[in-house]
Amino acid sequence: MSEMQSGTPNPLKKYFRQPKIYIPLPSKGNFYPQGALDKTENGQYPVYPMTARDEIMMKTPDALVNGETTVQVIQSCMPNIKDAWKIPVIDLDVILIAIRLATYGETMDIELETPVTKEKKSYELNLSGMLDQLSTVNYNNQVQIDEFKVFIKPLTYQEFTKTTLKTYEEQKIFKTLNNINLSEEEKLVTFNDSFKKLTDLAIVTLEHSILRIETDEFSVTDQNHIKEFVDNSDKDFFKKVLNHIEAEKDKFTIQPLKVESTKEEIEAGVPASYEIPITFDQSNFFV
Amino acid sequence: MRVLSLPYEQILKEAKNLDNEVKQIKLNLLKLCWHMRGSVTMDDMFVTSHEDREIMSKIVEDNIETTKKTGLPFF
Repeated sequence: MSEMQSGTPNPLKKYFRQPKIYIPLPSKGNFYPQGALDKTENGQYPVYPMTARDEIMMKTPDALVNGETTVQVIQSCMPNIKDAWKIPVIDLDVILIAIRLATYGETMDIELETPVTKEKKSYELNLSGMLDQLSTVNYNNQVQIDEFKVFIKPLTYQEFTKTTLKTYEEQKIFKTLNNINLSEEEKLVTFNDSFKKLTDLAIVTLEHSILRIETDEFSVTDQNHIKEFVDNSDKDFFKKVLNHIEAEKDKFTIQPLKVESTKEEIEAGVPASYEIPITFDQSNFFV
Repeated sequence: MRVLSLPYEQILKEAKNLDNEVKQIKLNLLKLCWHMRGSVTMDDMFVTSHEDREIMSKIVEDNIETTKKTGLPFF
């Protein structure tokens, strides 16, 4: 192509693709630090299909685990996102579904197991419907607790990845504890240490999620002051903020698939209708 | 990330599957380069989308069919 005429690779090559769809972000572009998102006038962001290079990236095991693949592919397919590590997690599912849709089309097959009979079935999911559902949800970033107005923010993809990896490491220690050659006392020490680390992780996650605390008299944004306050606040305060964060997170969860059973299945003991949670994994999401 | 919760043997199996899928993608890209008779480089192919490659494959299939029908030399 172009290289054959000039003899040098064309630096504009990555711009050859055309956007396939435009999507609004659930965060509405909020919570991105400066320089992480090139905001558009109308709040609609172009999504390009994955290239062969992106597809290969998506199949690199190590990069998949540490989150590097997701970051590289998002930045390739949504060029308005300049630093994908800083994406608020409430945008993540919408972005990945949009990239999947732009690359392979509107539908996606998933394999499910029928309850009771354990028969495997294939269902076709409509990704456009999912995008519509998730794009219209509003994130409520305020919660009033007694005299405090607490402003929260969703975790960034970077914070989320770090937390998930650390949680995994500690859970792995729990699992292997019974199999290694340690005295009961040593096991207990290791268990307590690991349990403390997990608790600390939950507190750090909460601290990262608080943006600002206001009262009638002052407004605190200093992260050290917020950390000190969280460390010294009572359990109820901690719990109320955590509940609010969880409730907001749940709003961005994909609704489970409602399945109606056939006459034969009902006769075999399968409930007339049942719900199956939709989970995306590597084997079905980026085919 | 979900792959981490799998048993070690299963993780190795998944990694091998992914490796094979990568090889398959590269094989398809190289085949298309060959069939396009030098008009597309491997570098160009790496930036094509899935849809672009489907269209190219269709062109290749049509050309093979035409070659068969007309009896023209293919190689």
